[in-house]
Amino acid sequence: MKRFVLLAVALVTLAACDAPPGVTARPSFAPPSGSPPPALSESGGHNDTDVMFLQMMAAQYGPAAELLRLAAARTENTQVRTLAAAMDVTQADELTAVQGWLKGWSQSLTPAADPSLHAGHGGLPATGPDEIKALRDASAADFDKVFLNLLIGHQHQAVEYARMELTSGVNPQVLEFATRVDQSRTAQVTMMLGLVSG
Amino acid sequence: MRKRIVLPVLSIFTILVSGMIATPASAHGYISSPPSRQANCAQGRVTGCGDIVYEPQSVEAPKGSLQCNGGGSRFAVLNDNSKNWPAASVGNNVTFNWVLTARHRTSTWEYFVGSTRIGVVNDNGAQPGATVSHNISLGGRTGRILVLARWNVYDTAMAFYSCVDLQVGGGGGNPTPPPTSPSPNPPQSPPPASPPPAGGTWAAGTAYAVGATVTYGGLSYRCLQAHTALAGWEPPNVPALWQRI
Repeated sequence: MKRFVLLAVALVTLAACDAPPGVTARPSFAPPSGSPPPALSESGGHNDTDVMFLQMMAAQYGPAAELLRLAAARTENTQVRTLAAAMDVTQADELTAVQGWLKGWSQSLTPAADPSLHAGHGGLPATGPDEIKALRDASAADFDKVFLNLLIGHQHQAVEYARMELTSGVNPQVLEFATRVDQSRTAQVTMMLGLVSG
Repeated sequence: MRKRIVLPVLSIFTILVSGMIATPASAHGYISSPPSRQANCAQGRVTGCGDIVYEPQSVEAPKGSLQCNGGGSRFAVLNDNSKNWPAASVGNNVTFNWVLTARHRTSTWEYFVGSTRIGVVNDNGAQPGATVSHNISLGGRTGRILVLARWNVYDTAMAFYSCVDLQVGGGGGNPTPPPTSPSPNPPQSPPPASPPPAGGTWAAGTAYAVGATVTYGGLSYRCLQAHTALAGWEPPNVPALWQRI
């Protein structure tokens, strides 16, 4: 329930503070160099949901990268290490694209509400300093279990964001990106559930 | 700036919340290991599960039910004991590990076999920590049993439900296999032992080694980093993994 509240508050804050309601027509913008996901330059109009989705995704990448790099360094399971490494590099590219969209629309790169303000209420995003510390402090025997349970929750949150975008976003490129986020995270969760349940 | 939007916010907020509750994007938590029924659905070990595959964390219903779906209108498949649910082999003491996507303030975590409560952990309204694991004694029960777990949220009337099928052996000891052992249960499509022949068509579920080549959408790509291919990781979409050749 708190999740809804936070989402709703963030959405409302954006909707109320950010310029004109509805779709803002924008001309094309150049994708950031080295960011090959297709069709970025064909960006059409966008709405507040598109912006919020991208901002919430942008806020998700940092904590994920910390978990993923800890895993790459510490896991003894080859499957876990390979998956973590591939997620790390693909998400780094995604972040570049997400930032490119937001910059092209002259939007803040972070959600309107500072995620740290919500840390005591359930967090936005789900993974914060406490979770990263828990993984850092995990014993070798518990490491994979802690990592996978944290990352499954984290990636599932991205699925929720993507489904919000798919429900009410309008920008074709961002919708296409949301589809890929939905698919890739769902598949990752499937793999990780297999790994965690042994 | 934000202060003067409070009133509009309240009304819009109400509309949004009521709208969002109806969407499948509700999220909270479930037991990942030993795998709960929804975890078995989400990892593809059990098929024909319906929507629960996409939101195993969403089995939310009013407190007090002893049904695997919490007695709600959704996810009735979880109550179907005739379905071929795998049972994890465990000893008498089981560590139940939760995945959380929202850290609700919590009153209790309860565990039942049938209508008998076999364990309870009282959080007294605290927010769960980064990881949630409970060691629960099965009280000497043996054979196949079904454990129902209820996560009772502190400040709402709701709980989250997870059912876990267990096969309780004689030996005791740690029910959870060592986390460092490779999974004997890879996702649906087991990767082949070696990379597919050069020029093969990219396919989700395939394990690709560095240097493997595939075709996708009529173009050829070389693998830059070892990975198992996923939907959403098609070569043109993930330049960190695939290079056009």
